[in-house]
Amino acid sequence: MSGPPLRLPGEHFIAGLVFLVLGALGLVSVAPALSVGAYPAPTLVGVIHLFTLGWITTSIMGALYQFLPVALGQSIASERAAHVTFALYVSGVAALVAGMYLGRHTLLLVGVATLGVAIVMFLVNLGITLYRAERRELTWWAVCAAAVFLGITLVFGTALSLNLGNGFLGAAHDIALGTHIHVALFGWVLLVMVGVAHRLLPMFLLSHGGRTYFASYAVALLATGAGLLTVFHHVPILGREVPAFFLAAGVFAFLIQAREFYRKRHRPALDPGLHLAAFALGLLAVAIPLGALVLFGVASLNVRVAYVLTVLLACSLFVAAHYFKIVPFLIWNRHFGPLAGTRPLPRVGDLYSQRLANVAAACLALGAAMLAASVAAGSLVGVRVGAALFATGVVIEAGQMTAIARRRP
Amino acid sequence: MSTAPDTSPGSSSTPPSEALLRDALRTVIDPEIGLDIVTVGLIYDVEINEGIARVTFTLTTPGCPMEAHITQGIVRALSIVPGVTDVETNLVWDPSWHPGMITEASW
Repeated sequence: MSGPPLRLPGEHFIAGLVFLVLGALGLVSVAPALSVGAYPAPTLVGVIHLFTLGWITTSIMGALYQFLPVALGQSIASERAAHVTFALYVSGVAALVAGMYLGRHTLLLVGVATLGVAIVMFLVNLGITLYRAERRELTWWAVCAAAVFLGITLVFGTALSLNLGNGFLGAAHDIALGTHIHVALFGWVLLVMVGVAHRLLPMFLLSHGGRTYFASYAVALLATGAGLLTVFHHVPILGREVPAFFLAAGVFAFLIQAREFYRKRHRPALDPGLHLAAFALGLLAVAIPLGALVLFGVASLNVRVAYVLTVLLACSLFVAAHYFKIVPFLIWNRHFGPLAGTRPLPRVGDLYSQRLANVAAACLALGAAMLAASVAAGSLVGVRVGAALFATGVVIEAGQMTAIARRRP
Repeated sequence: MSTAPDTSPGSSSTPPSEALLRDALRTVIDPEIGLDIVTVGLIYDVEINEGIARVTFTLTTPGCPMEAHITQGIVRALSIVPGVTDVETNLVWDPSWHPGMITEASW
């Protein structure tokens, strides 16, 4: 069972990187809104969706097409449908974000509709693949649950988009927004991260002999939390404190699992990608106490925005870290692999500059930390510097990925 | 899997040793780990009988995208060893590979 040709994951990774560059530049432009915690500002919401839909979800889709044959022994059911889905998805994200950023409601709704069709097509294709898979281990369960929550995220997102035109949600808007954000980040993105990391982190770190059951706890806790939030979001305790406890416990279990993988690694030196992944996990740990402040109502508007931004940046960096592992491997496999056994070949890590990758990782990590801290503190200068650092890291990483894609024997 | 390699160098009268075959296999690398497949511990057994080299090997994980390249690499690397007239590869999953199989102090 082999993965799809380079084109399918490749087109997703290219689009994901374009969205990441736009999102990073967008962060610089919305620094004033971020520094005052003005989350509902349409321009800020547009930039945030460049990260959630454009960068993270596009990357997840591309990575799953490559990863499912390895993890589940099952290739995606229809590659052709996946290409069509990609075209619709990218168009949908572009229209949605442009509609939000420019304040054009009709364009936004066109984007939502296109995106909706694309996500449903993706879920059907993924669902058939998961149904056919014979290997039903933790990754299978994590991806199944995540797929359900992607669908739920779409439902809440569509409702919020329609609400912009007619305000039908009324006082329920804030609850719907909170549910949308948490189901998207914890139910969709983090569940995929836990499921994929359960296979990839030990593979990249060469971990052996550690405890692996924390990942099962993480999947169960995150799925339960996101499920309770979905069903009971309008109920005071069952829809707020209880799901929050499960989600925080799920994140904690994931962090313990990741720490176990890092501690039990056979690979002595960490490369830039694995350093950045470790930092992203550390940033995710910071989100737990921030979330507690928000939950117990003692957080200012700035801290609330900083909390969401911290989770978002942690997930973004975790994905960015894996690009340094996955993209050079795909290029090696395509262009260098056929020469195996005929002459000495470079390693995957030789396909890019370790020094520049370290600079990119440092800029991304410092920028993300400064962004989150400055938003919490309400410092416009800090937000601008943090966003600029982050954007610098993104541009360097995008340049490195372009250079990798051009490498030939 | 059996392949018919270029037999031109295979006219040597003395069969190559297992150590020589293992050395030849060191030209094939696991690109992600950055070590050759012998050091990584993917080669379980190498034997030669009447010019036919038989290699029993594994991969780091089932469904590994490297399967075709590593298999072809094994065939190519052994085909040029004097005394080898054919190469047979046997991919096995038992025992399954784990990082503890990497030769110590190989980093």
